[in-house]
Amino acid sequence: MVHFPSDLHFDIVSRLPIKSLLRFKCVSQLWCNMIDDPSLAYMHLTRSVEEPKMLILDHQTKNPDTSRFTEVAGGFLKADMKLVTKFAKSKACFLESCCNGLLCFAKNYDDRVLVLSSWRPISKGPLCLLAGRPIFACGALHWFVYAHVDRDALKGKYIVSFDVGKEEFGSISPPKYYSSSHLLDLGGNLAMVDRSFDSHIEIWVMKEYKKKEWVQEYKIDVNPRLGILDDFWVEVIGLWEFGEILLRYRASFISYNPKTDVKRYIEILDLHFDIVSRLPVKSLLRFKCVSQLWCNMIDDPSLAYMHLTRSVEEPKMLILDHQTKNPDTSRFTEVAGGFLKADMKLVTKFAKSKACFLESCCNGLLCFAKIYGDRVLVLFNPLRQEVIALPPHRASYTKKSKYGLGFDSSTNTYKVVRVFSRGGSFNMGADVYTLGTSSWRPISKGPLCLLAGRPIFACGALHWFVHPYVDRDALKGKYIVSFDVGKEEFGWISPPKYYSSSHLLDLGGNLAMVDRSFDSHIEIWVMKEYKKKEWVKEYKIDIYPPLGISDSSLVEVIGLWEFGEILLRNRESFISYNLKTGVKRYIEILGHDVEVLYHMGSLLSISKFQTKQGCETTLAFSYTSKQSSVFLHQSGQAGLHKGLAPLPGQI
Amino acid sequence: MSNTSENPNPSSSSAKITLKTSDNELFEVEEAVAMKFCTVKQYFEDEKDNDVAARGSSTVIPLPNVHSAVLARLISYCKKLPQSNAVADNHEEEETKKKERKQYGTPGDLVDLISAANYLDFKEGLEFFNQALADHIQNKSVEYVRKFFGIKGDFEPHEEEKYREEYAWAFEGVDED
Repeated sequence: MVHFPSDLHFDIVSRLPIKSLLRFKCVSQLWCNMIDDPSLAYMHLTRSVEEPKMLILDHQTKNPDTSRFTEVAGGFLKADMKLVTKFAKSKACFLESCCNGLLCFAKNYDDRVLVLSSWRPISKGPLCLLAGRPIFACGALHWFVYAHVDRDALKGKYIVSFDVGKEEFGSISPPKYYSSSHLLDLGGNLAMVDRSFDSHIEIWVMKEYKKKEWVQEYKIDVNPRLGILDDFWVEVIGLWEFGEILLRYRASFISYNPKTDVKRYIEILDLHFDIVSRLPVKSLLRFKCVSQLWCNMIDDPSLAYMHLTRSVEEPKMLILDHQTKNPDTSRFTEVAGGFLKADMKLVTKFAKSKACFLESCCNGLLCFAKIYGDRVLVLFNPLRQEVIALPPHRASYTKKSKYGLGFDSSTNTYKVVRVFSRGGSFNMGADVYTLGTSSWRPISKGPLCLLAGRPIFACGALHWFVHPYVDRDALKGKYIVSFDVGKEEFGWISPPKYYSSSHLLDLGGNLAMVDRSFDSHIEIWVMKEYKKKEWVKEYKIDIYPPLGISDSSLVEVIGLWEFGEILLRNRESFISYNLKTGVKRYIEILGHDVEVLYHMGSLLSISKFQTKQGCETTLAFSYTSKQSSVFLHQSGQAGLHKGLAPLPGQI
Repeated sequence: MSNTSENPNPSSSSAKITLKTSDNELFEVEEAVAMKFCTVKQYFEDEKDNDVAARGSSTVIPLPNVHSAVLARLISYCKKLPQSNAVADNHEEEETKKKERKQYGTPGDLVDLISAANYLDFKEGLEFFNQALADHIQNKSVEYVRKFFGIKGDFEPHEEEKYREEYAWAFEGVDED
């Protein structure tokens, strides 16, 4: 144990940065009192212990109360405005002035709230009207005079100063006329930024305040060196770590080292997230190369979910090529005319089987099962060229299971439901796997009966026709089985007609049924309002003569796509039919063994959800939380901030 | 969202509010327009006791983060709001809206408009200008985006090459810068 006289403690403690002092408040009550003592704070100030930092004031924070103040990588501090706005009982608080680590706010538009306890009038006010936020340097506050004050009357005295000690106003002549300038505190000195040039800015510094002499200290080439086109928008925020100068140009921040002439860009991503969420997947995959931060942002699942709600993607048709001979480099291509083409190679390689069957697709993801041994399930995002395996479910019954992939928009999760027969057409069980978890969960009630075909995901639910072997009389019209992906409940829907020659589809986001029981035409029924479960006969398409198809029962409606056309498949030929104009066009799709699907691309990087033994799902979640601190803040302001030990009772 | 224009209230539509920009320009705008800016609206919510109409243009609201050139454009956008916000429900309308967004200004202007709309908490404006900027960069190259947002590429050459190979299709059909 070391014994010091307590006044020595005081000296040592005054040399510590605030971050340490706030921690050491917990040492003992004595230390706590010492650290809160104003005299320590003033001594601390004279020692210049604190490194200059940049403070980001977050006006629109969604952070929990526990993270009101944080240190951000790269010399930044970040503070919520919540405390200020709560205290002022107004969301509109304006930063009036700052000095030695304290910020002074006024409630916007009613500056009486600022009134502390008692104001003393002083004998003489300033020369004239003042503009902007004052700069505190060398014991005085400094303003430019208001732009509309008659310039001739001022005789060059464009800067008004207020000596805080003497409580006297004075005036200072700037080195030049000030119209495009701004003042700042540059390492403790008063400085002025001259922005009247095209290619550079000049920073004048008043080195010796008493002599009132300006020195042109820095000349920073902003164009083209910093890539700034209009220097009028450049704001110099201050001098900070490594002797660098932080500049703000519109929404970007640049830290410039005048000694080494090196600049570095600092991303304070605020609005980028919103803009990026409006771009199609194709652009975003390209922009992954922009920077690591963008790459992380684009791979973040929360962007993918936001992207989904914006409906950025155009509906496309996806061609799944089962027997490709393409080289690996062209596993995914855009084909002229609104088609995307994806190799199955990635899937088959991953599943170690050429026989993979498409079980279900939903919001841009495809779910395959190995045909022989259907416990192997893989999820495929063709746009991202990512494949992951889902964990195997428990027991396998003799009959093949059915799988449905759906999206729960209330929790932003993809779920896979497995339906299996326990023996017989009406004894069904089901379990659910949620993407990002490690195992399947049984659910209490399975569907009504055996299901047929591939499910259709629409309006938050999966839909199957019941199996044709199921006794029709026992069903009493309940021919469509639904599965609500959010509630994890099975239900049923009556189709508008008996279903034997029909198929279901997703038509522009609605559940639809194609009736193929006529010779010369097909009818498409659409469930416009899903809650009401009412079918509307929306389209009637003549297939003979205009389309020249002789057997309507073989026509498959793939979906609604560009220009409001409906893509139909009749055996090996594809016809796009414009419902408004009645114009049909034949489309040639090359390849022997291809599947064509309606596809809305997904940005989601599913490889983030790959379950690995040991680290399992935490991978995805830790990733998200790590990222959020970097860019999930909005409407930041950055300003030079020097800390000061807390003053007791300052409020 | 366009309540004020659909149900014009004679007393409030005549009321004017004065806004002061960062360069000390004064703008006298109709209350209906100013109320689109939630930051301004907040003032009136803070001041519920006071009668807005009575104070009227005598109150000057400072907008220290908004330049006059930008505010002028935001106000003119506000006035156009009702017709430009009809919901596009088909392809042609979406194309018209796209054209409208394209005409709105240079990409540099958009950045200023977005920053100002964000500060003013002007939701429709932010939506519109963000979308306009998204439209603009959609088909641009990686280099263009870096330059535009002032971002330094920080991938190792081999890392970047990996992405370019992996998503080769996304690099096809990119506009000239």
